[in-house]
Amino acid sequence: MMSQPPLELPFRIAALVKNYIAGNITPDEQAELDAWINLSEKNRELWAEISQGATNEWTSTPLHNYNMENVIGSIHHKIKKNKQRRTFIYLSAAAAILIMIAAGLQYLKAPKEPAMEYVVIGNEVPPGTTKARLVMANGHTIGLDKARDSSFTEGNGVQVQQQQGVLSYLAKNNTKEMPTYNTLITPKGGEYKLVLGDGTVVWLNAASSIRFPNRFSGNQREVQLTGEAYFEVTHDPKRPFIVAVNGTEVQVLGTAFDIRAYQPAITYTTLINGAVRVASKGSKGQVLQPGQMARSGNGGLSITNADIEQVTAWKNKQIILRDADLREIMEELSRWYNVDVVYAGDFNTATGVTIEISRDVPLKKILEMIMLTKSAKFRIDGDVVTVLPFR
Amino acid sequence: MFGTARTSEFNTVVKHYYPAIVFFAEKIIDNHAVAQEIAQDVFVKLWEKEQNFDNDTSIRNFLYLSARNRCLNYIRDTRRKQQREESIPLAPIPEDDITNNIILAEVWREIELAINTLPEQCKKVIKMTFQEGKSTDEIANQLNITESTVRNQKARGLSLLKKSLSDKAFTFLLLFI
Repeated sequence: MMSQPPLELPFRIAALVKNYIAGNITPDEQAELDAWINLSEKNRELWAEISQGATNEWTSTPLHNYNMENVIGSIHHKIKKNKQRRTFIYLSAAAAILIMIAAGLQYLKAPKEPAMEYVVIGNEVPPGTTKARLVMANGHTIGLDKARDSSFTEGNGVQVQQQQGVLSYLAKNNTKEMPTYNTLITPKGGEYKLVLGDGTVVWLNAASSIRFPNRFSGNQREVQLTGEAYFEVTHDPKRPFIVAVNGTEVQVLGTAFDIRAYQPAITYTTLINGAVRVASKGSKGQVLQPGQMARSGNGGLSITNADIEQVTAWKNKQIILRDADLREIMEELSRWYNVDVVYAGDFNTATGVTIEISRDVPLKKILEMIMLTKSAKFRIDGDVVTVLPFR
Repeated sequence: MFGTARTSEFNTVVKHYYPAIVFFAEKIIDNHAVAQEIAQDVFVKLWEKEQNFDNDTSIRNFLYLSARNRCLNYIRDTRRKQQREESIPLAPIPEDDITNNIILAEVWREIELAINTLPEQCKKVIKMTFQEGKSTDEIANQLNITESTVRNQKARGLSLLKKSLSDKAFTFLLLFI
């Protein structure tokens, strides 16, 4: 479908223009350039745009100044991620073969004692699903899940569509009615995707909520968040997008970022690309660079480099926690698998645990992975997980 | 080591082309954040595809063509979404625009490169004069040099710039012979 344009022409014309600017264009080249300029109205417009540079002796260009070290860093990060993804696929295939061989050997050997050591006792707990609750301005509540599609019109004429686990507000600029405020709430074991009236996409993680107008009016777009969400904000320099969370304000200039605010006192804001300003209420705050994470709360603000893969794992249906405390991991699992965690002992020294796994698997599988690190054993009773000392 | 040499060659290509490719993509899709994303993905692909980075012509062709294809894909996807919602008919993107945007991006890229090869003080004076619009005495104050030095550096910068542009244009033309 896409035809390739001939590339010699633009490069040739660019070379002629450069000779012209440098003042060493030959009469033949000048004739060639003139002929091209006069070929079409578009070409004349382009030439007008370039020759504006003459008033600045050609020394200023519309190219942005980038921090090239950051740019190069982020490109190499993507290269590494691509490579890991490929390696992971090879390794998965290799692992599958090994498991089949091992299973075959086990079968032949007919083990005398079952290898019980790394098996979690108890019932199976399924992973979380796509579900949420929408509380509307008039107090009505609608349960949302993937199975039921629906579309309806809110009181002030705003169209809402619910399809395949995505809730979308269709922008309508001609209504004069005031916007009303809705709240989308995910329970433990739920997640949901929301498309706001301006096209901004929000992924809401488990045990979280977002309060938003069903249509943006005025000169800024503001939403309120609890818990965790990933935002891809539609670029609109005239109407800044603001996320208010726990006394932290994140001001957005068209971009993708993650906010994690499960603890009431601490908010983590991680910037994937674009630019955001993070500020404690009332302060001027700081602008994040892509790849940086801001930790804010109690009036303080500090910035570190983020592990983007880890921060955004949940949005990609994964759990990635590197070098984490056991308690942090259990907290994460408790939110997604909707279980309560009880500690039979002191696990404060159980640190430095790393897990990387899809979050679509049953809970037992993940707990068995953690057992392999020898940091704890587990028992599941209904929706309660008991963490036991390993020995 | 082979790996590090390849990396540093690649990084030089990124430095030389990244701002121009973002500019080019933004001209087509009119979204700076997405344009940066697209430019970065194009360089990732370049790294995966090329063994080394010494053939400037083929690198340049690859960068502009894949940026263009990604931009068209992006437009197609977003328009499709829009069309579903507002039933706007799709208009094709004229190829003329792509060609002219490549010309613009390449002209500005060469000028930026030429400015960046100027000696440090020359470069500062030129950038402050023309990009930040500062006056001779402001620059003299800020760089802690006399006004006549500022004027000299400016004249020297401009003449070096022309020379550097014409050298570049010359080597550039050799590629086509």
